[in-house]
Amino acid sequence: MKRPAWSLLALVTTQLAALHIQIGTPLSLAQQWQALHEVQSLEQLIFVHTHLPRTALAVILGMVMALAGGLLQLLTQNPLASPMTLGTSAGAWCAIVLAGVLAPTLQLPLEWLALGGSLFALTLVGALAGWRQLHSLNALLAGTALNLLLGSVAAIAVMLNDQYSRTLLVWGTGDLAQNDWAWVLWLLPRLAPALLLIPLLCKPLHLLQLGSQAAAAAGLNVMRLAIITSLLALWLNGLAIAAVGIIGFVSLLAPALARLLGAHKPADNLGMAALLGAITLLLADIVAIWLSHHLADLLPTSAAIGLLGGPILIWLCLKLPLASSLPDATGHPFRRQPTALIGWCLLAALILLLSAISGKDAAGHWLISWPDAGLWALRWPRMMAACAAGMGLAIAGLILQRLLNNPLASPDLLGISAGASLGMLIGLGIGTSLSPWLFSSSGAVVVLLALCWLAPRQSPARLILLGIGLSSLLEAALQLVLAQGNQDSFQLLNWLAGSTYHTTPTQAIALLGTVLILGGISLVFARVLLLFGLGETLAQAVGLAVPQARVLLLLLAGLLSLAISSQFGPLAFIGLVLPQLAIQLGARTIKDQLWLASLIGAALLGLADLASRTVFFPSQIPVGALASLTCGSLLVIGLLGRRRRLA
Amino acid sequence: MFQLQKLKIARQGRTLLQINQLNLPPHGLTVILGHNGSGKSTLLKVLAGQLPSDEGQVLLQGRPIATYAPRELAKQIAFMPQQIPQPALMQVRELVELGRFAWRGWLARWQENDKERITAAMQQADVSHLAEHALDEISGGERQRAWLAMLLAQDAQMLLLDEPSSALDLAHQYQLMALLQRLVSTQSCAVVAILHDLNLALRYADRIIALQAGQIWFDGSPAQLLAHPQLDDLYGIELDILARPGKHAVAVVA
Repeated sequence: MKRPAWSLLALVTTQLAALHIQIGTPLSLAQQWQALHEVQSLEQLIFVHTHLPRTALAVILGMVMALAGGLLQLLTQNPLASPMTLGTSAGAWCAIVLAGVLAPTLQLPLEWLALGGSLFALTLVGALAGWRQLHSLNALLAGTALNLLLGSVAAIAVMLNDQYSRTLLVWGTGDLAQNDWAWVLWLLPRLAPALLLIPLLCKPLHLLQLGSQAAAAAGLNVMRLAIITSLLALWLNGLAIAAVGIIGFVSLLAPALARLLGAHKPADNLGMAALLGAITLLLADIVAIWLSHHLADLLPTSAAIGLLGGPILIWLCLKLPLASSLPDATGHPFRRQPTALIGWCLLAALILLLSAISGKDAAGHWLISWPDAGLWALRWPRMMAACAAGMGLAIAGLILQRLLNNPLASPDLLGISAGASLGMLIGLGIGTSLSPWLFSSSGAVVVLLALCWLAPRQSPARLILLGIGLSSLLEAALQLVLAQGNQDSFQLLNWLAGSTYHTTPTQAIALLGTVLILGGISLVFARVLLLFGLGETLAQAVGLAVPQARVLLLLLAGLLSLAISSQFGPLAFIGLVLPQLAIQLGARTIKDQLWLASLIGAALLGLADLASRTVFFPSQIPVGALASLTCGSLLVIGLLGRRRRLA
Repeated sequence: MFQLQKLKIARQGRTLLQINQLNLPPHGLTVILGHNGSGKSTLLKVLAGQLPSDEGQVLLQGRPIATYAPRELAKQIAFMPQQIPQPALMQVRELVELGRFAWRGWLARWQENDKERITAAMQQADVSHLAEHALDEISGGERQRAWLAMLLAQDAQMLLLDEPSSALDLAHQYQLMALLQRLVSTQSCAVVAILHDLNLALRYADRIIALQAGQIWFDGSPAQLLAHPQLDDLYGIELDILARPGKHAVAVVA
């Protein structure tokens, strides 16, 4: 790395810091200088206790987040890894929210909560994607799915406790505004372990670039290095989250930019990433301050950085080379019995019947009887819509998993539900009297059209990356809206968590019809889905026109996803888990898998509908969030089971 | 069947393949030999239509190969890659059925003659007993034979095989070559195979093409290759030819 680049970056950092101080205050330089020694006016008080700590915090946190991301990228050898894309930020945030909601009296220290939550999330991502696969797309798929899941967990918690959570929402959005030096002083001593450890880690991390096996052969204790590095990265990121909430992108962008500038050795990369992180955060905060002066609402820093970083992330996704996943050497043990489809049919029907007839009366007692006409008219549309969504997600998930040859693919990663949510946001922002459904589905249609245009040109893995980029952009925009903490934001939160209680009979019937038609079409295309199992080149050699088939299958999955997400919002994990569950239950051929997965989907969502009505009676939790939670837990149980069998 | 003219493939300034003129007729068992990196697999990929040529022409039945739709092409040529994928959960029978895709397309049901072809192909490749097994639970050699069964079901006029015997045990190597020889002699279909085993090639091939550094170094019958004065240059190692009365001559490393 050349010296001029370093000095240039350092110069830019100090310039931006100076600009950052000046943009907020009306004081002249002389008055500012005086304020440092002796405060004489209110303006000077504000300067010393608001502007200066904000600048200091921006510089420190920018460096901290960049280091966290840089360490994770070096460790996983994945150019797109970061606390944001691996789901650990969401884990930390979720832990803090849950602790605040469930045990508000305990006052647990935030940084340890954040560390615990992010450690849990990282463990889950590692188990999901495979610890040796963290360099590949799989890690990002698992991380994004986890992001969505933890998002719905936090959403449930927030909705059940909306009094407390209103302040939480504002806090969680990552704003750098300060009113004294407390956070800066809190932060500084906690950074000490990082400053001591990082110089020691540089050389082993350099060795790790050979690959973990070669590094181990060269005498490196890879396990110990991985544990120390990831703990350090998560600790740093947890500090940032505890101090200001989630500010995404910096941790991803800064190390990636450092690499683009030619800093490949760990020491260079981390050092330059730290400077770039400070620069990015200062720049974003300057934009946020400037916009807040000109807008009626306060713009949190994280939203500003999301708006800057989202497009860059999408560009990076399309540009950076990413290793494809290695073949899984262990192989999955599958059951050998043929599927008893009839039995599963009966079981699903029984569950549906049970969910249809049970409920609670006004006093909260269980009531199992055929509902009267009034109640039934309220109950059947939401149940039908939920079942149709379950079926549709299962089918769309199966199509994508076969198309990508990757068991972690799922429709919520396509970016279509992100598009729907963005459309919904814009609709709320414009505030017209038009139905929000119109906005959400047009958002989804735009993404779907873009996908179909890209499909013949880009490999499916890239398309999924694009979806991940879009989802991150959405998160930033969401925080912007949620930060306002008004009625609109709760309406949006409700929709995002997949609630069904506003479903009309027409909507339910339309959704079921769409799902049945598209499902029928995919059943007919079973042969093409099977062909994709050979890989695209060989499928072509056997006679498949791959680009056309890719567009068609994407269109099928996309339409399903569109129909569902324009009504329910993004539903995590369901489309990922159900097709795999069908395999575990013994489905061998594609047709069996399709039938079984959609049956389980319908039954599961029917059950979730029942639970959403009864568990927290008289309040209701959205079906979608509940079903995502169930599927996520199923996945964890399944993973634990596999671990035990291997051990 | 194939006509290659002034073909050139280059990557990053390095010429991988340069062939002035090569014709492959729709019959006979042709073996491609050559050292590592000599361009064998590249040539096969060009013939399979998976790699467009940078210069020159590849004509199949007098038509540029790039103008064929995938299904048309798959009716003419069937391709076995060096690395056979192992998709989870796909049964051997399902794989062999996919060989009929070129003839039936996306939607049409399998006809009676499709089923006959599938059964016959599995018998020929000796994988009937594995029909219900998944591809990821059988051995590498069995997988190669299953793939061969799919190629046979494809009913193409020419089979392109990239090291079809690499994972086979000794007996199955000879069985495979005997099967290919039978196919060539009875069904008027042609086989082009890459092999590493010189003796296997000498014994079964009708024609041997040897590549060196991307260029054709030898093109002729096995007997002509044995009589080649610079045979040692083929792999850059000294070879002895052991003539055995009444049997095939064998080449061994001196």
